[in-house]
Amino acid sequence: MTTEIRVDKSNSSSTVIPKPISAYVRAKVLCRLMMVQGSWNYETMLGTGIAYAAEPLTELVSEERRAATRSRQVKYFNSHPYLAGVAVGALARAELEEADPARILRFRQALTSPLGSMGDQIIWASWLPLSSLIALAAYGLGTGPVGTVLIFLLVYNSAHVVMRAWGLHIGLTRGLQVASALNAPILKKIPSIVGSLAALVAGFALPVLAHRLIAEHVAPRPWMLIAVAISAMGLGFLQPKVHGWQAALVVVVVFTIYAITL
Amino acid sequence: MLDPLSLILLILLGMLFGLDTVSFPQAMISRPICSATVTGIMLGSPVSGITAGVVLEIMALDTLPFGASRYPDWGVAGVVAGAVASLLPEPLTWSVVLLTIGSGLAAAALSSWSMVLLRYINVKVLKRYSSQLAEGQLTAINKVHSLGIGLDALRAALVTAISILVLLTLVQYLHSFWHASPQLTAQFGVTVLAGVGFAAAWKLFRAVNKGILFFGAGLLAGLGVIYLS
Repeated sequence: MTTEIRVDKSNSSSTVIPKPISAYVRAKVLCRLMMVQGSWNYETMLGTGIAYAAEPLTELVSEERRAATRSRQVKYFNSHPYLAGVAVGALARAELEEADPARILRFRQALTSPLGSMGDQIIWASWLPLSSLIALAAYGLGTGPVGTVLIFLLVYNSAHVVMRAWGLHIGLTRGLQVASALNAPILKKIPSIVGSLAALVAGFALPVLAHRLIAEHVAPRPWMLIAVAISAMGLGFLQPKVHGWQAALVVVVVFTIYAITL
Repeated sequence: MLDPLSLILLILLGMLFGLDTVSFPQAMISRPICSATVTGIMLGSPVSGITAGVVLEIMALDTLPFGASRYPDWGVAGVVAGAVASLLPEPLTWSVVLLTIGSGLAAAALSSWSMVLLRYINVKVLKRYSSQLAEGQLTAINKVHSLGIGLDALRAALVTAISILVLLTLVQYLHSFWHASPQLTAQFGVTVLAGVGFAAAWKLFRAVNKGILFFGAGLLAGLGVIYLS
């Protein structure tokens, strides 16, 4: 499968360069995108990762422009890793079309924020918790260890892989006009739909999970209910300064000291 | 007890799952529900592994790998928790579960710090190659990137090795001196898990329009299933 790069002359100051991008090159970029965060750092963040992932496409850029392309790609960039393909595809297409370098750098800067917040909302804040909760609910309903792990990985990665592939495809197809695809109403609705589903599954998962974990070994006491309510509300207000796991570590250490010094 | 071969296997697992957290491929095999369960299966205790995975997954629900924020490497934490749950003497009592949670969370804290350190080291590597990168040299890009991945693998392996060697010894010692009643230990463990779990759920439904209604509907369905079973 090949893609003919077409240039929208009304929106671009670039020259037409008809370059087919083979499925093999796309697959190579997709594989490299899986390690786009490999050199993540506090200075250029994803910068070198973007350059590394884009290399099979950079090799298609004219030889006299290639070094300059790489030097632009290693500059500061940040986005959600699953949507980095949008940037890699769009920037590579702009380079292949020999767009104005200043325009490419401005476009690169403009992409950072939307790609970060969109990915965070769709994946980290919605899809990942939903996948975890589905797996926890499955375990609560009696699924075994292997089944629980498989359910989690299949549910989560169905969206993960699709999102990475879609990102690269949309970037390569739209180039510098990719913003219109990112503004699609459906993309704005996804976090709220998935979030509602996650809230529903959370409500279902917690009691069935507690039922399986507790079984007949624990006699419930009123103080437990009060402690759960206080800690849940307290943690709710303290976030993001204090995370649940940090508070849990402190109380588990305190209880352990109590348990061994009795 | 832990033989050298099992230790090497655990370090390799920690490296694999630790890499997944940020560097490669972020398929979330690093989440505790996967990493701890696989560790348990590898050590011949799938039930201990999944128990460690489930309790740690509840702890991990509200920590998500947002960009530059500081978060634990749940892959390494899951391997440590899975190993502790699998290697402590059976049966899997609530004291074992609590010690599993404690060791998993201690490894999570150490790994969180190690990831911040790695990001600063990556900056130093970047500065070393800054002139070559500015010239657009491909070899510099490849070196910086592969070094970053290699250092992340090394970080995950080191944190796993240190955590397992220190925490497993400590936990075995603590377990032999555990005097709290099984009932109180279980009640405490359930309370901690439920508190953290409901806090994470609250965070979820607070961010969603009418989220409390969705949560309530799910809760009713869950209680209904328990009643019918």
